[in-house]
Amino acid sequence: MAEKKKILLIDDEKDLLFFLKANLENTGEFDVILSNSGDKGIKLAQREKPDLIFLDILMPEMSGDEVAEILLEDPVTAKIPIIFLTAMVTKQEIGSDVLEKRGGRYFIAKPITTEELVGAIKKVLET
Amino acid sequence: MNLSAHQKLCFPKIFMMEGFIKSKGCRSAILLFTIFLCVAGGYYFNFVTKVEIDYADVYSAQEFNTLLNYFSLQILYTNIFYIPIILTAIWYRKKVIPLAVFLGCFHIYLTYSALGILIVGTIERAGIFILLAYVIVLISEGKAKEEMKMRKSEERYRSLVESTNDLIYTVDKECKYLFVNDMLLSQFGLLRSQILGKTFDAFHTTEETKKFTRNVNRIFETGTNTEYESYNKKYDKWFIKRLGPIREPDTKNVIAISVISKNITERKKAEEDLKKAYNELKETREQLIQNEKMAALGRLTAGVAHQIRNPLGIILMGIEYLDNTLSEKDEQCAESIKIIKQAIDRANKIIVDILQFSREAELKFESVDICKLLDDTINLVERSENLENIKINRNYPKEPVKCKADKNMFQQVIINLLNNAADAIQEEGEIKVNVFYKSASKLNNKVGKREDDYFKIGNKMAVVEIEDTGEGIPEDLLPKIFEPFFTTKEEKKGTGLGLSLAYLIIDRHKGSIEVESEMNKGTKFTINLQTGNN
Repeated sequence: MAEKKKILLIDDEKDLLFFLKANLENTGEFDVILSNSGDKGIKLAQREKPDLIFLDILMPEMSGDEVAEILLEDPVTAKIPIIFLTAMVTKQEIGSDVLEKRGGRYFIAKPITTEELVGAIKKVLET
Repeated sequence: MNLSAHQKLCFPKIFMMEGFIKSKGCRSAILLFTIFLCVAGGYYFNFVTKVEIDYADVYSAQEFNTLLNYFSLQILYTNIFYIPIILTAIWYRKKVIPLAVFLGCFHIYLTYSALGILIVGTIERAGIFILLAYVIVLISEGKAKEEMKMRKSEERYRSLVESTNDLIYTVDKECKYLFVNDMLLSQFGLLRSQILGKTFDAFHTTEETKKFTRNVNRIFETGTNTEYESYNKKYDKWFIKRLGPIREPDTKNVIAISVISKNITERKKAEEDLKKAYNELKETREQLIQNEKMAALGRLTAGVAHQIRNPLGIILMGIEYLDNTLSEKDEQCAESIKIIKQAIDRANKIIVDILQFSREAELKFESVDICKLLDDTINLVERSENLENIKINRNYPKEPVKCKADKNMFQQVIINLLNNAADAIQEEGEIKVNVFYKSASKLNNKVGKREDDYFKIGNKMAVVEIEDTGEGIPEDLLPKIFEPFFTTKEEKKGTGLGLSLAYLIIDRHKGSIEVESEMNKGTKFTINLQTGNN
């Protein structure tokens, strides 16, 4: 069995984090670490070096965009792919594809099913 | 000024001469002549002839001749004498009485001494003539005054009728022209002889004649005034016609109709312009309200939608968590989870639709062939369940119809419209998809001179019509169908956002979408788009 991928979730909604972690770990393919704020998330990312980061955009104190900027500047975390998790619909979401790439960034829209989430993770990690 | 035959009759020649007779020179000449006649005549009879007669004992033949001459002269004198008396009476009227008395006395005194027997007769005749003259003067003067008054008033009315810019004429019961004023003649370039005696229908359309005759008849029956507006096609002029009865002075019966026809073309045009401007303004206002409503609703719903998506995400994750972790899953539980997931899906769909309103997302405009895009879209949905028994007829021009459009967005509009059409068709039916070019001809939604109008009159537009043979939309609902959340579909079928989205998307394309519908016949959506060249 392949090594479990380490996923970091950064979102201010604690309840969402709880269920996301539970559902992702339930698949048996991922180890999930959580952070409910931007700055804690950055520290966690630098320490744990996850394979992939899910990042909420609208957060108090530090927004997802700012977090992503710091992570990209830090050589330790610069290469970790980030998927923005957002309730703001970006574009053409009506179509079938949940995951969307825009300007080199991945976006995924809330609400999302575990199935879609896993699909998105795999797609991003493969590229 | 030319006097009419009637006026000439009113002023007999005697009154025309009056001026001359009344002139000062004439008066004094005749007066002097009268005095001369009195003095000279009197002297002659009294002191010349009297002596001869008195002293003649025998009348010889020659004497008899002299006497005869004398008598004829006397008769001539006596009669000529009355002329100045009458004339003086005419000149001086009341003042003439003492003068007449004086002259009469002088005359009597003179003639008395010569011809005593003629005194009474002479007095009588002089008196009668004076009285006669006096009466004639009184009557003729009164009459002249009356005539003058009438002439003046007639002139006043005449100038009233002729100086006005209105067309004035009178007609009889058969609508024959009895009188027309100069304005009417000059307006239509006709001679009086070409109009008088002819009937109304000789110069007007059948329709106008009917209207006029109806009004004329009504006035003959009721005797009341009436007015109506009419359009003269031949001269492209609008008139307001005011009709009134002309009555016979004694019996008060209506004998003719007077018509005052006022040219109101300018006013009518101004009114039409005003009406047009008003409608434009009204439309603009409605448009503004509609746009503002949409925008405000968009902002509000976007905020709400965004806030709802977060908890929705948690619910979805939670349900999946439950689905995975509930150890003792029974069928009921699994069914419940399925239903909850569907509900979340539905809620999310609504939110996705709503969010479209607030998005300032840039559309990707590219030159597309609308016909091909329609074909692609139709192929995509043709096999779906609700379009199963429906025939889609396409009617495109041969050459491609190029438009600048965002493919995906436009496709979504067409899908929405096709789905609506399919829903409107109960069992079997037909959807017509027509594409053609048209030039914007009449003022309409987004067509006009306003700055925010997308089409100017004469602009070429690409038109897409989607016409179904469905149940139609009731007239009172038509204005509402583009409003967000307005739906007649059952709850699970529609969010009420499809058409508002279509409206918004087409608006972003600088195009317009309109709807026409007839109950039980069908509905037609018309999309006007900018052509590729614009």
